Amino acid sequence: MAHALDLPVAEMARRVRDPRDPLTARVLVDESLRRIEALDGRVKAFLHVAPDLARAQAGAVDAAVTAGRDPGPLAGVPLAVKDNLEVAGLPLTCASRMLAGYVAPRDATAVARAVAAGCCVVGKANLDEFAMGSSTENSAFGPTRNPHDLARVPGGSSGGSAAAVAARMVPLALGSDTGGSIRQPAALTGLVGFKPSYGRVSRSGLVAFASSLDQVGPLARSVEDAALLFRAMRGHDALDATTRRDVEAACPLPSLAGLRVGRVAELELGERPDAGTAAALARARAALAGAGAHEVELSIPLAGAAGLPIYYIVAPAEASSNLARFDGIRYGLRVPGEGLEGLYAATRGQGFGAEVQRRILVGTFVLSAGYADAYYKRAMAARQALAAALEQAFTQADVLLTATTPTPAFRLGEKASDPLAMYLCDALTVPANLAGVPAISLPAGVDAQGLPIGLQLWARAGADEALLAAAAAVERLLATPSPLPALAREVGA
Amino acid sequence: MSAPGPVPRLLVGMEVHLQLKTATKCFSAAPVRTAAEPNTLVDPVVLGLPGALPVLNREALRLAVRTGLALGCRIAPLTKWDRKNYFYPDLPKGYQISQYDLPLCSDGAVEILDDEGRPKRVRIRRAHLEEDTGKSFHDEKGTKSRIDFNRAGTALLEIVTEPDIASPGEAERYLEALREIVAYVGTSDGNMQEGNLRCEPNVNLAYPNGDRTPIVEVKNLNSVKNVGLAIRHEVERQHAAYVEQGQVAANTPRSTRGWDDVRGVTVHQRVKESADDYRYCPEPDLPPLAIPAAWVEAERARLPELAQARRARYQQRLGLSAYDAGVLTASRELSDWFEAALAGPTGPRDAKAVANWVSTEVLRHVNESGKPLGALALQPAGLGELVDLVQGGVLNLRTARELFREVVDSGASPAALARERGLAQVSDPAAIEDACRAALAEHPLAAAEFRKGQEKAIGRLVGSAMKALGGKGNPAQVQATLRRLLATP
Amino acid sequence: MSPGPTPPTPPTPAGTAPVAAPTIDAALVRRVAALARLEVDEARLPALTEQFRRILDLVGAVAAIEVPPAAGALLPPASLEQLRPDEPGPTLGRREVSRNAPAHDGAFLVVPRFRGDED
Repeated sequence: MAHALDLPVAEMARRVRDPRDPLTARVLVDESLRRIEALDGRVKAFLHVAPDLARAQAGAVDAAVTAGRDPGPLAGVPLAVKDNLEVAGLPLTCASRMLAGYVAPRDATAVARAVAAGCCVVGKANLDEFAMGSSTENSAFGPTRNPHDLARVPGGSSGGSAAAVAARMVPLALGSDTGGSIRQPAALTGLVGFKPSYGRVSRSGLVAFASSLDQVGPLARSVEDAALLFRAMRGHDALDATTRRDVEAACPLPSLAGLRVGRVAELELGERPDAGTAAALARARAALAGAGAHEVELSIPLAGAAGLPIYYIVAPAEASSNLARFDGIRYGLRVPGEGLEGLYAATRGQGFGAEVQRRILVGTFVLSAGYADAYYKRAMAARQALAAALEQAFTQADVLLTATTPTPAFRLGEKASDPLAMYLCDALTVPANLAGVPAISLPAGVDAQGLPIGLQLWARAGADEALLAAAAAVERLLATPSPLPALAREVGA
Repeated sequence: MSAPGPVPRLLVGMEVHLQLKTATKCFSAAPVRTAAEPNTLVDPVVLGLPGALPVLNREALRLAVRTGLALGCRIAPLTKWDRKNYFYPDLPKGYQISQYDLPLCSDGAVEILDDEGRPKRVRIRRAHLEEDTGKSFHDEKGTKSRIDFNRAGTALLEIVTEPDIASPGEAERYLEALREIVAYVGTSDGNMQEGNLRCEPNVNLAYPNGDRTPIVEVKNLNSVKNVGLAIRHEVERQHAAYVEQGQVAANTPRSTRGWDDVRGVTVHQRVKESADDYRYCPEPDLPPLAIPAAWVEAERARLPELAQARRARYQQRLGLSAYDAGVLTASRELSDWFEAALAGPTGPRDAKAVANWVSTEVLRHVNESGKPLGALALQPAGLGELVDLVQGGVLNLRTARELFREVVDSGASPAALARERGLAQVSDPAAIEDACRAALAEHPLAAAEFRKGQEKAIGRLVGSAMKALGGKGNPAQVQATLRRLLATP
Repeated sequence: MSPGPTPPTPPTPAGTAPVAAPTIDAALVRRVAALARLEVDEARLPALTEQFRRILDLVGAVAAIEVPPAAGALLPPASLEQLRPDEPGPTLGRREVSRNAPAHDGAFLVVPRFRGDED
């Protein structure tokens, strides 16, 4: 008999809120901490485990239940938080030497809202340094491993969040997605990963990588679980001027019959596709056709080959500016050098890892005098054109269906020495960020080696609930729930 | 050595940074105050902590628009924010949130007088909203600098003119005019010593043959006087460099020089090699802002009449002297006070009389008491009442002055007090004649002297009669009665 | 080589010549690193320059993208009502400021002495 920690989140929280049910938030938190203790030495999903905070929050939830107050729809659900989101009083490292020892003075809005809904923060999850990467190997504190195969990467940059949920150490985790950093690790670890529309969830307290692309979102074992966490966090925030003010009502589960599912020529797998991924995609298309969905053939040239170049200009440009604040003056690492300029160069040269430095260099270059017109301004114009083209596509299709990643999880070190090979992992995910549209990765079974495959659904900007409803329907149709890694069975999951 | 050079034309464009009077910072809710312990007026946004995001202060925008309108600027219907990227220890985020290609205000003008006293317009190219930096303090000896971020994030309006300023005097008058305008519209204290108005003139010379000296931006100026001195010094220095070294814009880059107050010269400042590449990019944390024309018009309607317009009106419509008009418009508060006192219950009062009272008695009291005008118990209407009592012949000037000294601190009604105390002047001919006859009887010598032609002797007689009338006699009537009695032996 | 999507080589639309690629050499990388205040180890420079060149090859494809004019803004403009009211909020305490500061004297943050160009 599985532990209550393995129940659907709604069921888990319902039982915690029921004063007659012996299940408490404390029980869930203790079980989560026990599994972390048992497994994380091998997985390395967490940079910091916070038993005191988690137990204090669980105590507050249980006290509310006893007192007859409503502790919220996520009562007692243990939560892992990507370590680029602030949790008051806990370290905030962004997996960088630059911020070793930094303590966050406040909660990110997304964290505060999740906790207000009853979540208990058990720890801070590993990531690629400053969320730059697709494997979590760019962490200054060592890589996270894929619970389905410890020799492989969990994806990134939210790899720690994904590994923690995939190994069943926590039922829910927060990630951030700038070019696929929630969806890609979700796909590689067999989870649901949801990147909401730009502006749907506050970025206040999220350490900015590329402000116009970053979005906070959930990683979970099911669409329903992800939707619950998303609904707890979303909405306008006075601390983030880019949050949307419109409110979208929950959508009924759509009938798949008549659903227009877009198939974008430029977002198909390449000439030599990964067999498992191609098979999963074909299976899903056949199932959808069988359920009466209409496949709509689309061509969005800018979403294909142009996506990566646009992304790898815009994101580094914003990153070069966002990361200028790490200068050794007010907080974080300070490495002495010759005078002030020496201090800047030594602090930043030694505090940032290689990938972060590469992106700062590229970003600085594309914004610099003489080159901004040819690179940054062109990319921004192309990006707007891409957003317009995607908007147009959604007049013909209700959702788009693509793979999430070209391949399943690769081995640690396989792409670490080749930055460009790593960049190509993002080809199918970056257009959603560039256009600000919501996209969700769903588990679609495992390949011949037992590695999870993910498929991605996209919807028009602002249609987050419609996308979640469609994803839930597709999830039910595919009947390939989040695969349980052997590792998780050791702890009784 | 060198031949006397041709006479150049001076071109000065002024960049002014004006701190706007908001309660909180431009992009965060941290409070704005002048005096506070170092690094206490900071929050995550001000310090540029990871995860902190800017949110624009509506009042900062309103004050910027109000200032722009007072400068005759066009207000952009759509504006946006940009990042100016550079590294400096007092710049918390490594970039300053500013405005690059869509400034809030553009195409305005400030009217000043040229050196011959003729009106001229200094065109405002643009005025944009941005955030202030922190302050650095450098140890005199030793190896450390110290930084206070209290000022960081304060809302600034950067006001940039065309190079229309043609003399040091014009530069000084431009700054005075600007200071007066912002004081009138109440958007900034505009004080250079306190640093809430900071200016950087861009100075160069244009020669009749088309040569131009390289533009020099002068920093570290903390008074209007120093601005004039620095420009004077630059004129000489640039002219000498042109004549002696042939330095022109075509062969010498623009540079930055700091004003050395002690030596009275400008000093070359080290320019960082990368200083000029600010890598402007749109600020992704702030959406662009739409400013409806109706709102701009409503703000325009709320602008007060500015000092320049008031001075013209006081002279042309109220018949005041240029000097009085200047005194009365020295501050908007005083000018408003004067105008409130001028407004009588049935129509405007005598402007000269009210102006006299305000510029003498009221200002004297303000100066002597050290209390601001707004703290006076006497309200403008009270002064108006007093003026009415004098103009209507009810009080003589001496009684009125005594009464003023009393009501200025009590705020009591002069009319009621005069009634209550029976201070109304005596105009009853019989009572006045009695008093005058008594005076003549009491001072026969003075009467005789007057009759012999000593005009001054009547003073003693007037004094005596007034004393008999308790100081309340109508002075003109007393004079006339005495002269009539003296004329009839 | 992963069997992912084919590397981005979009066809150059007729009539748009690609922008001449800048010369990427160690000097350029050194200059950009100085602008970004990044200390670069000379031993690392050749490899970094090569990576930089390859990344710019990838992103240089934007030069060939034909962009329709006036594609619209990414974020809809805010209205005045959405701006923050001018009401003071909480500040960070001294302790919170100095807790994360690399060097301070209890009041000021301390850095190596530098010439004050602005003050």
